[in-house]
Amino acid sequence: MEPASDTDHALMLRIAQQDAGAYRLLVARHLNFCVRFGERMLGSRADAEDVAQEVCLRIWNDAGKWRPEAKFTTWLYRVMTNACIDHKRKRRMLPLGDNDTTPDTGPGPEISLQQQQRSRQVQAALGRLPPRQRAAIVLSYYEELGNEQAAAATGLTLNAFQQLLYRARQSLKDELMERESKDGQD
Amino acid sequence: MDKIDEFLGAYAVRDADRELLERIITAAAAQPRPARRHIFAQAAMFAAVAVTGFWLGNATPAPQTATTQSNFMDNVILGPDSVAEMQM
Repeated sequence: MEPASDTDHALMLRIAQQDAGAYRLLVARHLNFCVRFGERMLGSRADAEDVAQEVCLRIWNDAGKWRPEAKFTTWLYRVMTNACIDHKRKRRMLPLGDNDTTPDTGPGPEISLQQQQRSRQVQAALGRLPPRQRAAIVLSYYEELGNEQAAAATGLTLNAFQQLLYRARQSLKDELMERESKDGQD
Repeated sequence: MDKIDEFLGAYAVRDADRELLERIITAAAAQPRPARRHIFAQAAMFAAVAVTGFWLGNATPAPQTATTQSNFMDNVILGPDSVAEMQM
C-alpha cells in the first residue's frame, strides 16, 4: 500500500507547490493509462502520446486549481476522454495530407500474426464508432471501470451511460460481424 | 464468452516508454511556473488600475462656461420640455 504522503491527492497538493519529485511520481503512475487509453481512443500511438503529454502538462499547470471533489483518477479519465474527443475533432478539420502518415508500430512483435490481425480489426471497428461510444467501450472493457465511475468519467448519469454502452456494444458487434462476413466472402 | 468480448480481448497496446515520461518531465520544467505567473498577472492588473486611476484623477476637462454647461444639461441630457421648445 502506498504511504499517505504518496496518494494522488497528496501528490497533487505537493505539485501545486511546484514539487517536481511529486509530479514525476504522479505522471509515472498514470502515464501508462493515458497512453493506452489514448491509443485505443485515437487509433494512433503518436496521437496518443501527444494527448497524454498535453494532459500531463495540464496536471502540472492546473494543480493549484485542483479540488478533490472526486477521485483523481475519475478526474483524469474525464480529462483524457475530453482531450481525445477534441483531438479527434481537430484532426478531422485538418486538410488531407496534413495527417500523420507514419505507420504505428502496433502492439509489438511478441503477439502472433493472427492476434495482430484481430487487434487491427478491433482498432478499425472502434475507430468507426462515434467518440462517446468508443470512450464507453474503452473505459468499460479495457480500463475495467465500473459503470458508475465510467459514467462520472464521461460526464453522464449512470442510466445514460448504460444506454450509451449498450448502443456502443451493438454498433461494435455490427461493425465486427460485417467485416468478418466480408473477409469470409473474399 | 460473447464473440465480441473475445475480439475486444485481442486488441493489445504497448505501455508508455520511459522516454515519453522524461519528455513530459522536461516539458513541464520548461513551463513558466504557474504560481509566479499568477503574481505577474496580479501585478500587471494592479499597475493598469493605478495608471488608469492616475490618468482619470489628473485629466483636465475642457474649459466650459456656466452657460454652455447649463445649455448642454437642458438640451442634450434632459431634453426639451415641450414640443414647442423642440421646434424653436
